[in-house]
Amino acid sequence: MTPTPTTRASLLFRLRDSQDHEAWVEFVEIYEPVIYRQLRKCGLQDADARELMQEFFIAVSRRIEHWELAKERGSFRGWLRRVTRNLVINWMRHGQRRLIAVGDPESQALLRDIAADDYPELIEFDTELRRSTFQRASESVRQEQSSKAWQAFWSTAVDGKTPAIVAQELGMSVGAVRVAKCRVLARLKEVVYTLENES
Amino acid sequence: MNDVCSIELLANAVANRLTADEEAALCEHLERCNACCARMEQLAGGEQWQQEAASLLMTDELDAAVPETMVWSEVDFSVEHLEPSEDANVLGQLGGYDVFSIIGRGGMGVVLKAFDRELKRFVAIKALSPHLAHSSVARKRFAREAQAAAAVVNPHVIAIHHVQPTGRLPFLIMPLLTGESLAQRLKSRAPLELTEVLRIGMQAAVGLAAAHDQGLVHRDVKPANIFLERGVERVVITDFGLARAADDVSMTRLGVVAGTPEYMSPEQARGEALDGRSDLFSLGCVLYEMATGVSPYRSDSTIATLRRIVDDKPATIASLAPELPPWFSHIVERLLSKDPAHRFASANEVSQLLEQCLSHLQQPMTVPLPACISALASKRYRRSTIGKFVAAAAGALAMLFAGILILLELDKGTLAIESEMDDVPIRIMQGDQVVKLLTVSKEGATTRIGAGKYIVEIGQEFDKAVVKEGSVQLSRGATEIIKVTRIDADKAESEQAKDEAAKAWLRRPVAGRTLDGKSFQLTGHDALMDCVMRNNSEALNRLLTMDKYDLDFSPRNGQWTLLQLAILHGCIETTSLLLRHGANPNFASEGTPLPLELAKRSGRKELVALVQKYVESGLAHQSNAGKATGRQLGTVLGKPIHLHERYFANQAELPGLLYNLFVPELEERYRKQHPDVEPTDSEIDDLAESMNAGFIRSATEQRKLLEAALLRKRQADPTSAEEVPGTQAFIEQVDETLKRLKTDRSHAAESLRKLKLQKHVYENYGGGRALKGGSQGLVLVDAQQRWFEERERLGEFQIASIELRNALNSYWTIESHPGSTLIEEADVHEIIAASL
Repeated sequence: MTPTPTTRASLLFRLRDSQDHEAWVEFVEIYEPVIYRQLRKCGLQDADARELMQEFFIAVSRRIEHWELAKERGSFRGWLRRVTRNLVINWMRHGQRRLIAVGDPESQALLRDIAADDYPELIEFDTELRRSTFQRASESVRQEQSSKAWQAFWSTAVDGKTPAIVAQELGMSVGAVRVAKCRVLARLKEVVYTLENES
Repeated sequence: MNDVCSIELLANAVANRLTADEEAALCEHLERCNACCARMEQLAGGEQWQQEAASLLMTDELDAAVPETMVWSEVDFSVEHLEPSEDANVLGQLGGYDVFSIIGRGGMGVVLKAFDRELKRFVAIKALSPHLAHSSVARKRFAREAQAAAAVVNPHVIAIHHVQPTGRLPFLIMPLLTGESLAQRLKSRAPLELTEVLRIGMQAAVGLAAAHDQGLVHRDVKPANIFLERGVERVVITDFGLARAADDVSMTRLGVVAGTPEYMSPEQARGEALDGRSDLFSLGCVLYEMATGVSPYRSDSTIATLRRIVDDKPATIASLAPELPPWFSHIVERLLSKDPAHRFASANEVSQLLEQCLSHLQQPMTVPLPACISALASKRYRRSTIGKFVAAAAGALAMLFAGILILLELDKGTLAIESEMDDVPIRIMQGDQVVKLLTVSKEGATTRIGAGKYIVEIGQEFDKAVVKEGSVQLSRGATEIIKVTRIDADKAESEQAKDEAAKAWLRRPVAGRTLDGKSFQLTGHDALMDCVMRNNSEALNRLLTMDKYDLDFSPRNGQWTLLQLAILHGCIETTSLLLRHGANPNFASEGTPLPLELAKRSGRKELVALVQKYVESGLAHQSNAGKATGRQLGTVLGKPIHLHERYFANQAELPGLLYNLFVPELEERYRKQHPDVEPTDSEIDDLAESMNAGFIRSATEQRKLLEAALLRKRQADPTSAEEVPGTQAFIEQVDETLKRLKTDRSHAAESLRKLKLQKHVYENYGGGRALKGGSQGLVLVDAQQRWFEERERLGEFQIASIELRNALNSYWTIESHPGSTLIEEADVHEIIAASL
């Protein structure tokens, strides 16, 4: 069961219609985990991340129409990444205003205030997006495979068990476990490729 | 059986194109042939692919936290129903209010958190749900009921500040309460203590009675609509009127039951006419649920629930909570009568009944149960001792307080006096009249007084305790808490002495003099800098440990300069204090050595050891924010930046960084100018360029001027051989500036006047405390000190330094000491004019 290519080839276009619920639901589905995880990794608390995530979608919904008009600005993904980045920077700036030193020029205080807190390192936006793609792809592949084949794949490839142990657990031959693992991996690659090239 | 290695077969296997027989054969072959296993893995994407898949499919703790809420609904709501706002931090506007977030939504309304700009306070907006807003019947009903609800003024009914019946979404404005709903409370800890059940039930009944007096039936009394205010534990009934508005539409047109069926009265479930007694049935359900933890008519489906409400008798309270007294079951059973005529006559009656029961629980010996239920009182129930009530009440009020708690049960309200100590004489005053004299002691004391305004104070000649906020308006059914706290004589004295000393230090005339009878006060960073410059570790310690004046005495505020100065002065005590209070030893001002480097230059071993200790300790590592920031900014900006080495080493990095930080602002600015066009990168760049130009000018000019000053100093002192790169160009630019300034004579005169003012204030403040600019502090301190030394000789340079002064001007904090008037700049002008 291949995900229908039409759904997201036109997602960007469809998003411009704020009435197109389906498109927005799909967009949120893809980007919600990406943005949330990204924000959490910037050191935001759960509540802040949720709030900022809300802002992200608001920002996108407000500006998406204009975005099409300026194609030269780069990829859609790059634009989303920038929106996220700006939100994070804004958050750093506004969320921590109370720390700004008396009478300092704001610019310097800004830099120093950010310096005053030690956040965990950011994970690349692209990695998170790719992660989201993998999750969706795996969901789709899992549905098309038999549950045994999927388990064989998961136990060997993700959990890192040896084929022999997994074969015993699942009552399959070692060869069948190997075939199932490779089959799922290959299929996953196809689906990931399809998803990435649609958007 | 095919036992031959075949790439084609493997490829088909991976692509799932084998027949069953082929597959079986291959599986067997693979058990023997490691080479084919490896080939197949290669065909499936290889090692690298497998590793990436594994790492990206692995779940982590963040996955569990990814919210399931549909963000879209909020976006949807704000896009469709709110007016856009210029402020990017708000969702949008509704009727002139800035909407910040959506607090909750139900079938009938949406609750928004919003800010009232005129009154400068947060409010809750309840808007009629968009799907109901299309119905004119619902809108009219909403408006009428909201107006009716607004007329109910009672502490236990949510206040309605404003009703806006017209517009896209009709809405009403309510205060934004803090606390939790009874539903939330029950979710976290049900069942509740009987005293709490009675207290909440009584206050809810008081609120309902007030509404019923206005002819308003709530129709949706349920735990979610009973709000428990934080701290005071005041019960507030919310959500009046909306139920009715929804009812009219859904019941009559769609044939769907609106509202929450679990707490509905039988007559409501049957769609009959309602009066206040319907709310009493719902209140009975709520009491039942509070006491037992389950709602009486919960069922799998709406229809089943409605059927049970109409036909069934719920499980008896005794069967669920045998420890509860029979009289309580009796009250609830009567409230849950199917026939309204068999319930209590009014909410008023219920509130009085519950109040008497509460009194009885507290003082079973002196207050009898109400006559109508006393017959059912059982001797088995022995929980109602003062001690238990005290414990329960303390828990319920979530205010565990050291010492004893005495409750005064008032016939129209509850006055609680919490005391930290024994034998405190208490006087309860109403106006000039002493209503009651009490001694708060372990034995306890009780009294009964009417509702009204009281002042609670400590009796005569007792100076070991103090009443906090002793003025109280006691209203019917409310609980007011008065706290009596201990004054620890010794502690208070030393605290006071410390305070006084600290205040005196802050107020002392700077540089030993006052101006025209007024003295200056140092605050925040200025004060710290002053201490460091004077090696006054005692004062520094006091400031760092003091948090009483709302001033920021954190060494992290301008920390780099502070620490560097302390080390330069070679003062172990101040250096150590700053380090202990979080000054970062791994950071240096722009172009200056790290603290450790400075310490080494001083040649003092103990200083080096001290700094070294903090550099290496975990604390230092933790506060070593600079590198982390560099990494973080770098990631955000998409390029690696090592803040310490590169940012400070290269001035040009700064505008670049700022440019990136200001991108959103620039985009906003652009949009204001061209509302119809989304800015492109190049347009943003242009905007940024003009902004950058300004920034670079001020930043580099400051630097240039300083370096020019340094150069001149070096020229005057040939032993200083170090050449500052580009100095000649800087000096030329300075001369250029000078020329320009001199041609504008009035400007020059004004500047000179300001410079004199600057000098005057500087000299009166003393030290280098004026120079805050964080990253540039030390350079500036050093430079300005030199500059001041040489300014006579460099006469013209005084004028050029106005540029510097302008940049520094905003750093000044001139405040008079508390109690006297603030010194305005104009005042100082006058003083100076007189003294010059």
